Order: sequence, then structure tokens, then C-alpha cells
Amino acid sequence: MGFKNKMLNSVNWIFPVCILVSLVIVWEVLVRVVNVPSWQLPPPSAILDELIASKDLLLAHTLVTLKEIGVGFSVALVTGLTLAAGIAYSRILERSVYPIIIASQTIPIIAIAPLLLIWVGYGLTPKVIIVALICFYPIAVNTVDGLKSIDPDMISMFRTLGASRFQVFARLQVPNSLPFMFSGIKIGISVSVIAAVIGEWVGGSEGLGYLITYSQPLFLTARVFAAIFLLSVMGVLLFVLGVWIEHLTMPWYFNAKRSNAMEIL
Amino acid sequence: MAAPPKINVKCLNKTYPINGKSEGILEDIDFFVRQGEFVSIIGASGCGKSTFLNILAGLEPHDSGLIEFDGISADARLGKVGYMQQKDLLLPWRTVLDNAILGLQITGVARKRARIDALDLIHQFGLLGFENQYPHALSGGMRQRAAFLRTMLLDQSIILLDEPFGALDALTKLNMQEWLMDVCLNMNKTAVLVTHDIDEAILLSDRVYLLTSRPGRNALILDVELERPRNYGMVTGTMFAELKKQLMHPLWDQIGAG
Repeated sequence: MGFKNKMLNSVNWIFPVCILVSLVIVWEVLVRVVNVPSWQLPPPSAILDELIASKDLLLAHTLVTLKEIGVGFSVALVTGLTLAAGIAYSRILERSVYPIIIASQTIPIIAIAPLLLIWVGYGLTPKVIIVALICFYPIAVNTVDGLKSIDPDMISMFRTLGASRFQVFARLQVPNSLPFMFSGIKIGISVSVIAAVIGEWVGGSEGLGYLITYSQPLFLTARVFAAIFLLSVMGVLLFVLGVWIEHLTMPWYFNAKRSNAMEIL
Repeated sequence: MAAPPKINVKCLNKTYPINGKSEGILEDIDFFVRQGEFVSIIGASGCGKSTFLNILAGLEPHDSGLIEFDGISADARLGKVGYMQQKDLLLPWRTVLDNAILGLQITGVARKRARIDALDLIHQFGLLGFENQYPHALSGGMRQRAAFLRTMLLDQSIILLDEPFGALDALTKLNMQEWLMDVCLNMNKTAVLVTHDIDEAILLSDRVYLLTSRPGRNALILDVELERPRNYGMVTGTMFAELKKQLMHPLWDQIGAG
């Protein structure tokens, strides 16, 4: 069982890494063989050079973007979970607020970004708001689903134990919603990086998104790629962080999943 | 003067609105259980026996009729009556021990205190060594015993059992039936079992109520005077066969007529 377990884990890692490495090699070879000019498509080695040469500049902009994501995501988490709890607990909120939240997703947030500049200026605030607006939705909607998808027999069981409405909420609905909540968080993390870049594109003087729009007209293509690379790494690392917290929070969930997977094998 | 029965039900009626019409589910049910007795309710599917348990548990209202516990009208029954379902309904995020203490925690007992109480009984419930396991790691029988422990730990003298062995394999079921008789005796519980397993009903019960199919009415009340302690060997005895015959005939008629 331990062996199969290890096999599964290593298979998860080996294949994507192999594919990625071979793509990078193909890219390097093709650019050199076909002799593509570096301002059009720099080879991976040139991007690596740029990462090293401009590391201070890149780091400074990375930290700005990371801050926008960190603050924006935290705002989304707090408001998303609070509203989800309210919607699951109160029928009035469910009937009034929930449809509005869902309908709000039809508004293209990229389109309101310029408005935010008019209202709150060019600093950190508009980026935080955009990140928060985009991350809020998957967190809130998934958590509402989790809070509400309860086996009615479970609720009966709680009631026969004498549980109050709040006890059902705190001891049944909240723990039950955790896997759903983490799904929402993971989706939120994945889109948070894009959201921060959008915010910087629309107006700003800092951050990796800004660095891309600044470098592109100067044909600093390797730097554009370096920024894109850092954004991807940031996205992956934030996602891994989310998964790590998820595992710490719900060991029972992953144990159950693993033993089910083993039975199938 | 004799003590009033633990549970006394008189002339209980229950209807459900189905397609705009109110359809009878239970009609004029009379039912009683004395302190410490084990009583079963048996009937074809849809005879309303589970609804009857839900009403006794306080989960559903009834239309008319009298429900008394210890001779006193029992209006607020939720939380006062133990209730076991076919599904174990263990919380996957709690260990066996923490699942067992759920009811105690709900009634306000501190976790530490509740755990001590539960550990006292963990051996009797066959869960020794498994108290820190999560439910998914347990067999069906063990999960059901953990659910029993959660129900029995509360200071509820009445236990309602809605086909609690229905999802278990035959051998586990036999084991559990004998075990349950012991537990109810030791813990001085009064039990009402709903089942459609005739052997189970006779083996466990002091009295069996047979209901007609929809609407459910009292069809037959059978006193089971097999001596206690009982064991599964009695199932092949002549007295058991005689009792079984008495229950089978009306039940077969029901199914035939339905």
C-alpha cells in the first residue's frame, strides 16, 4: 500500500515536469536553429539571463504584485465567507443577496477597472479591489454550496440530539463546507494573479503587470517573459500554499479519499 | 397502582398532503411500551412505521391523538428521545470518540468530560483501540456501534431504532442483534424498533406490533414470551416458529392484497 502510494505521488510530479522540460528544450533549440531575433522570441536561456541580471528590479515589482494579491485575496476571503455564512443562515439574505451576487458576475470586471481609477486613484487600492472582486465570487458561491449540501438525515440526527439551529450550523454545516470552501479558495488563488495584472495594466506604476506593459514597447521581450515567468511561479506557489493549508485543515478528508482510491486500485 | 407505561400512544392519526389531497399515513394507532421493554413495529413498506418513529422522536408533528411519556403528555420530544437510523450518520471529520460525544457536547458537556464518559463505554461497544480512527477506516458494523454509542451516551431513557441493521451483512447483523439486547438491558433503555425483518422483531422484542399497509393501522399485537437472555439459537425453536407463523400470515395477506 505504501509503495502504491509513493508511485501515485511520483507519477503526479514526474509527467508534468518531463513535459515542461522537453518543451523548454524544444523552444531553445528551435529559436537557435531558425535564428529568431531575440526581440521577437528570446530563447529560455536569454530569459534566465534576464532573471539574473534584473533580479532586484524584478523582485521589487514581484513584491508589489504579491502585496496586491495578498491584501485583495484576504478581503475576498473575509467578505466571501461572511456573506456565505449569512446566506446559508438566513432565508431573507438567501432570497435577496444571493441572486445579486450571482448576477454581478455578468459584469465584466475588466470593464469597471477604469472606473475604479476615477474613484480611488492609481495606488494599491484599485488593484486590491479588482483582486477582491474576482476572488470573492468562487469563494462565496462554493462555500454557500458546502453549507447547504447537507444530508437531511444528518440534520434530523442533530435535532434528535437536541441541537439548536446554531449548533447545527457550527458543528455540521461549517465543517461540511470546508472541502467546498477550499475548492473556491483554490479557484480564487488561480485567478488572483490575473486579476492583479489586469489592475496594473489599467493604471499603475508598479508591479509585474506594469513591468510587462512598460517593457513591451521598448522591445525588452526577455524582460516581458521574465515577468510572465515570475507571475506563473507566483500563481503556482500560492496554489501550493492553498493546497498545503487545505491538507493541514482537513486531514480526515484526504485520508478518506486516499483509502477510497486504494480500494479502487 | 401500576406505574404508567413509558410510552403511551392513543388514537394517533397522521396524514400527508399528496397531490393536493390529504392521504392517511397512520390511522388510530394505539401503542404502549413499559419501562425497560423492547418493542418492535413491523409492516410492509409504506405502512408508515418510519413516520411513526419520526413522530415519537419529535421530528414530525401528528394530526391528532395522545402521546404520553411516563403518564405525562409529551409535547416537546426533540432531544428527549434517542434515535438511531439505518445510516450511521457519523461525521467524517470527527474520530470515533469525538463522534460518540457529539450528543453530550450539544447538551453542553465539556469535551474533556464527555470523552471520559465515552471511554468508559468504548469497550462495551466493541470499539476499543479504534477510538481515534476516522469513520471511513471502520467496518459497517463498527460504524453502526459508534452511532449507537453516540445515541446511548445521552441520558435518554427511550431509544427509537429505525432499521438500524438494515445496511449490514447477515452475519454482522446477528452479532449486533445479540449485542444490542445486552446493551439495552445494561443501560436500562426502553427501545422501539422498526423493522421488516420478522426474525429480528421476534428475537429482540417483548411485543411486536404489526401494522396494515397504507394507511397504517394496528393489525396485530403479538406478545413474545420467549425467556431472556435470548440468543440466536432460539430462531429454530418451535415456539419461535409458532410466533413467526402468527406474524407471517397477516403479513403475507397484506402483500398479496397490495
